[in-house]
Amino acid sequence: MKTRLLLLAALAAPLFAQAAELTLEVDGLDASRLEGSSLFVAVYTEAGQWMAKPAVGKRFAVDAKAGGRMTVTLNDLPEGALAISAFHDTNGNGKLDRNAIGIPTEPYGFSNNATGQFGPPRFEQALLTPAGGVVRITLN
Amino acid sequence: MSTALISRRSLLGALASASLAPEVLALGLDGFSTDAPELRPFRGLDGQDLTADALPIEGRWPAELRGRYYRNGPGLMQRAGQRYEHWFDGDGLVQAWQVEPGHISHRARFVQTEKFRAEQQAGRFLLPAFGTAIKAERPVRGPDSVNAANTSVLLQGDALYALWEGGSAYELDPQTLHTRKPKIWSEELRGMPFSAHPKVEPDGTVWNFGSANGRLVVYQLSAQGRVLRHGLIDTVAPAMLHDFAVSQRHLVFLLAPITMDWAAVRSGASMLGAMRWGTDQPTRVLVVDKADFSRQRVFEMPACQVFHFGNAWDDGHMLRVDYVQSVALPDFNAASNLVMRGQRSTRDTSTPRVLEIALDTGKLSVTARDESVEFPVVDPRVVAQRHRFVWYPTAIDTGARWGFNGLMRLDIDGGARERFSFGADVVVEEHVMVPRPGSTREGEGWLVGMGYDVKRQRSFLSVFDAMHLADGPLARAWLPYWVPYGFHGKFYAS
Repeated sequence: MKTRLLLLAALAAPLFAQAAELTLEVDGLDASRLEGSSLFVAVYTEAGQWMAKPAVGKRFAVDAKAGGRMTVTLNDLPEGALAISAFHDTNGNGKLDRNAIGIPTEPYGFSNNATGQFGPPRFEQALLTPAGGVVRITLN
Repeated sequence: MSTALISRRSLLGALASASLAPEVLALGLDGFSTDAPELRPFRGLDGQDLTADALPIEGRWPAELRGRYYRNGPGLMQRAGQRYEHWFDGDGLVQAWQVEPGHISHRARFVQTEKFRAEQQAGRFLLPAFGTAIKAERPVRGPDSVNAANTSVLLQGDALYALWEGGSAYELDPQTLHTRKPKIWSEELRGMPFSAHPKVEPDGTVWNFGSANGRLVVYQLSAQGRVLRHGLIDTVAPAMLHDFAVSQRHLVFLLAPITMDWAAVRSGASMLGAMRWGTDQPTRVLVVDKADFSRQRVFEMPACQVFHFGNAWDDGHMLRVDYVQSVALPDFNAASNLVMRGQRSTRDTSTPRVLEIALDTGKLSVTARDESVEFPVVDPRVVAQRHRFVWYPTAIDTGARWGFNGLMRLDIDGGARERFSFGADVVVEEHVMVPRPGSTREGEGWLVGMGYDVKRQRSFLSVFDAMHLADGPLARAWLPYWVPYGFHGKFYAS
């Protein structure tokens, strides 16, 4: 009975839940601060929620032996266009640290490698439809 | 160097001849053509290093004066035919003069900032400069993304720092001038601005500040380079703050009425171009207690722009600060824009001031002088102590010509001055005071700095007896080339 339900759910998923998966390749992690660090990834689908309320938010432990790059898989994503922000939480304290004048002191980046001038880019700059299920982001 | 040295005549010759190197064409189209020969060094270099050994020495170099004289300044002004519009924009070129008895050598290397390396590779500018609006083709994540490391130097132990105003100090190898990386004083100070005007007390204690986004941070470092204290000051800092002064008990800031028009920045203006001068606003005099950064007093004086201080001292009741008053920012910028195009400007005359603050009553009085000066220095033995003498490059009967051509020593106690002029064909840069080994009296020692001979098209290092400027230079060491005009240096005796 249980098996049949799961099978049904699996079959129904592409039709109803609109779950997508993508591979995120990130480089630019601070190689001098890998030990005990994390990669935070946030996925946004609405301009009004940009940098405030992500549709999906994930934390990945960083493998200190992997150098300044890592590849992660994001599951259960909404279908269609999305924008991604990511940062390297070098001290594992769960937030993007800033210095006393407000400048981020940990590497961060956005899909399309979008950049803002003295602030985050606009949602539209980071918006993309993942081609081939792979997105690459360079943090700095 | 070869392209930069091409004269207009040889350019015309090259244009008339069959072979036209692309860089020669670029030189003709870059917006820098000048009939003012004293402005030639503003052309800048192409990013190459310079080195010259066993330099010819004219006169008698003092045998006791040995060590290394480091200087920093904007060295690269254009790429791919695009010129920077402001003197403050050029990439940092650090020079080291190695001075030994009978032997002087020179080396200059560009600081390999993140920005410089990227632009050197691309062959064109990729990032906005302080005074030139350039659309960013690389992420601008904070001040260090555009750090030019071009203003001054500081040596601590085995680290030479190339200093800028608004970002991290860049650490270099003091022997080779090879760039290491931006200095992180401590984890929480990562990426913090560390100004180009640290003050070093006779015991080696270093005081400095940094400002950005209207915030003001002060630092106290040990002689070994460890951050002993730092603190955010409860004030709104102006959009530009270049220097400060330190007395026995206080840190002194003159906060000019300069605000940042962020809408102008977003619509494409440069940072400097977007700064607004509040003529009807006062300049605030901020006095911070060295022992407790939360204890501060603010006084007001009519709007004035100050880049550089000589020194400050106080006796607990009276605080005396000497500085050089510049013209207001808009006129200063206009003048800087002109010389970067090879055109003369006489609009940027700056003059000496001494400010006395009666700390008990809050009464301020200013003594003004009218000599044209800049780049004040004092004897390093009197920093944050009672001082009497200030030395400056000065302009003496230069007429329409740009730049300083002489040196002046001012006795701020009595107002007496001593001067020397090189005449019409020399541009004099900052000269620093170097104490004579074994001496104790303020002023005993030499004044050492650089100049440019307009006719010979060569830069030189000159040395004066600091108490006898009028006698002229004791000696000069000549380079086989010219070097772009720099800002500030420090002499470290060996």
